[in-house]
Amino acid sequence: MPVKLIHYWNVLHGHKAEFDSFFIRQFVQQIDITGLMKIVGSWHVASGEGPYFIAEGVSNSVDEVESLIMSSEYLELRNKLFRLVGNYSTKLLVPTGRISTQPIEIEHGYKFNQHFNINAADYYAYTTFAEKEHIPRMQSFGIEMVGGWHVDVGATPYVISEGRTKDLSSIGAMLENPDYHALTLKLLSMVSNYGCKVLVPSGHVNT
Amino acid sequence: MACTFKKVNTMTVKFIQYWDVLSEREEEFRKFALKSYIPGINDTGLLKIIESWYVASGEGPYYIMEGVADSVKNVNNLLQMDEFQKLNHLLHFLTTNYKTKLLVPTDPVENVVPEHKNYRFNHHYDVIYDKYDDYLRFIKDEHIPTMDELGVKIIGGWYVAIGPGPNIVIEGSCTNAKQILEAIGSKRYQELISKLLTMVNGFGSKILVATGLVS
Repeated sequence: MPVKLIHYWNVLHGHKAEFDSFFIRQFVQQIDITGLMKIVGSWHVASGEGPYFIAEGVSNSVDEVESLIMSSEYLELRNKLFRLVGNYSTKLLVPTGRISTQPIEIEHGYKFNQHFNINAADYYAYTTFAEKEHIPRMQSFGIEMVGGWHVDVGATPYVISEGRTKDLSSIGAMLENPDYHALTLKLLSMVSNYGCKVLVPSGHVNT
Repeated sequence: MACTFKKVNTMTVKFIQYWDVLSEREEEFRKFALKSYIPGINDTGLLKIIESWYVASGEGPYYIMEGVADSVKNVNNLLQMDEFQKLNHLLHFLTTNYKTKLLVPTDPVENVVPEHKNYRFNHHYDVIYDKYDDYLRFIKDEHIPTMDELGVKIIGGWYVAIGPGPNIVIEGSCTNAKQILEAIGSKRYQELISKLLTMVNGFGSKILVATGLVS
């Protein structure tokens, strides 16, 4: 079962060039070389709350993530990273099972991610809504639903619904569509702490 | 359709309200907002509700009500009025996560109000104190012209005089959401934001779409 380790940070002022070089030549490469995780994408938050930079790694299992984060090589990379970034945090995501997992490969395109907590009393209504309405309707707006995740470890909101599109105009058309607003209002009747982000490739890993 | 803009009085302040509508109360809320809340506030003459938005991209609360007043005193007088307190009491039966902010104009943006339907793309952040002069130059000489060229007109620069931070809100306006998405996907925008991020902390943004509650 693939799991995701998501890193969030802001690059420190005056360290952008050093960060770019370190991230591409050391951080991504050395994590990939371990064979325990593949960095599948790095993103800028084009719309939504910071931190501004997001790096996504995918492993085949929680065991592999554990092996990586316990290794001295990873700790050394992290310590080097901390000299170049601030507001660092991570989340470990496990699939909800509602969306088929994707192959572990570099991600392309743009992302539209929604995050929220499911109201306890609405859990079963939400699962039906997600399968029968939310996922199909988002796909009809041109957003390919590529991931449904629970935040296993890390800050809430604890559900992340991950959408992907080849072009930003699909997201723009969706945001202008009253049907999208109606769909979101229905989602909001079952969840709290709702928010969403538009992510664009940072250019370090993916395009 | 090209958007036209109306200059606002330099003393104009904004009173922004945020909330989420309670589950299953959406229709009741809509009727209340249209028939009682918005007209009730406008009738006081102290604050004009100029638009209501939902947050199409960004963090909640999901609803934003935007009002303008000629002075902070007018907003204060409104908040003290029995009529307003009754309206807000009723609003609280239908909503949750209510909060407010009082925004006051800040340099170097000339505040204007779009006269036609528009979409908003707003930035919010805290300026790093010792980079404030560089920040002002950057906004005037680079940020506003570049956003304009990308199709997003900067229509307001505000600081949060009262309410939760971040402390600066820069408002952008566009006639369609697709243009905003095109802008934020461009290399120029990413370079612009990378530069802005050297002068600010707590950066975030929102895309706002009109709810249709205000005609």
